[in-house]
Amino acid sequence: MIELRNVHRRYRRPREVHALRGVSFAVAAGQRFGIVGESGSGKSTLVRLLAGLDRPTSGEISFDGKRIDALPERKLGFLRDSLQVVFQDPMGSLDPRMRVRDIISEPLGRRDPERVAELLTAVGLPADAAGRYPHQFSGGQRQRISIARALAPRPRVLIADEPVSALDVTVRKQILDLLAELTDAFELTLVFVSHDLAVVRRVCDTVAVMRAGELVELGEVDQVYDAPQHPYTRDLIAAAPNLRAELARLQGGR
Amino acid sequence: MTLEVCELSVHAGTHPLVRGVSFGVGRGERVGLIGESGSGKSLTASAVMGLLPEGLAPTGSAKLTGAELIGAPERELSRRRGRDLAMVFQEPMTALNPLMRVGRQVAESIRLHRGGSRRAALRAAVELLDAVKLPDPEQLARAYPHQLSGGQRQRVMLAIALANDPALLICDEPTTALDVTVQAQVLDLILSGVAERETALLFITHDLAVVAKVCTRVLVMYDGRIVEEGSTSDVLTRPSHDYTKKLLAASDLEAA
Repeated sequence: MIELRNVHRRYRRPREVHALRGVSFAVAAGQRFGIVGESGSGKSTLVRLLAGLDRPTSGEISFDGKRIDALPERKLGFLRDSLQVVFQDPMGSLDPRMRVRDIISEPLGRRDPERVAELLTAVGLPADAAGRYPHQFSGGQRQRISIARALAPRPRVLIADEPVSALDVTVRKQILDLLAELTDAFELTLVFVSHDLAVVRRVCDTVAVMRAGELVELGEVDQVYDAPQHPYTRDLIAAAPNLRAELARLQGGR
Repeated sequence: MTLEVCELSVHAGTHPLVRGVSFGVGRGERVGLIGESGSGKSLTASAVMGLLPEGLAPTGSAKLTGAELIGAPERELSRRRGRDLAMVFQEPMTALNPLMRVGRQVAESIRLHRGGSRRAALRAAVELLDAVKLPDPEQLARAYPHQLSGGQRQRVMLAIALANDPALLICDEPTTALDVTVQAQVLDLILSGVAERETALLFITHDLAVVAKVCTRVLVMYDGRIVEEGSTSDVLTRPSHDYTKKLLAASDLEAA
């Protein structure tokens, strides 16, 4: 579905940064592909390239067999319909002056009350949400609205960029499980980007670990987590606070 | 008790945001305050520090080493802040002066409370920067905040907070904005910093794994109230309040 070959991205301004250093991987249709990395790993650059919002300095990116790395903006229309992005901060990506029905139908380019109702149901919001404004919803509900908007044009690929990082703990799990459900129900391919290993493990079947612009490890989620091969992956797993391990330590200490 | 909070409330007009919380933190004790956004955990800490936003009024009592903080004149509070009680926030960039070299910022907080010469304070500042494991502290003391990484800035904040061996250190989500590998290092520094000084620690976080690692006792806040408290192992392995159970279930991403 998505293929990257030896992708580099260099920025010259504001300072020289080699954000991606020869990244290659392929995401198959129906996969739930996680990308994990810390700040400076290049994961945000990768999202921009996959969404056609930026171009690589060198290397190839193809979507469904078609090269997108060199296409002019006017020829990227097919990508805008087939690939949608859900961002971290729903408040920053929802226009506060628009009603939910207009926000959700915006990618359709026309009013479609039936489709809006269908999408609201799919993301677990009440039908009367359509007439309200973003500020009238909680953080978790706002993220449901952005997911509904992303699904509106019936995309085949959904990119979720840190979709639960701004949410409270009790809401986070609901949104993660919703994304997993929707991926199944709509037969989507999911690319899920996060700094949080535990979150990726819950949603994805495959994970790519990035560090300083390079892909250091790629494999099935369980395999990478239970038997990490690269030293950096091991460090990352060891450093991440793990509730189960801490609880086991507390219980053992009595 | 180093810190003794009794029936502390915070109101916005007539609307209660913190509803009569009482707790204590003993010398060298590490107490976690957990809850979600809107639970009142950060407001509780701000009320103790005397740093509530305009329009919010505290009532009740919070005594630090026996002396009342609530309603104390601002002159007294600013004398005690940075000396008896110190705070580390989530975002160090907003707490540091962007126009002052970091070594001088640490030195100023030493001199403000202890006096002495500029040169002696700067020497002490470099030692503190070394103690929070910043590389090449003499060089780094001459840097401005924007030249440092997020983790380095948080180490500088910790150096400032610990500069005068405070009786109480309040940390409000100190590692939430940091990468996981950096978070682990900063948590270790907080633990060793308070252990060396027998500083009482009040640690605010939404992350149960972090609180389990750092704290010996936990207070759970929900809707402005403390709904459960006890030893970390009791609260996290045998929670009694429904909200604590819900929080635990939601935090465990490995469960179904």
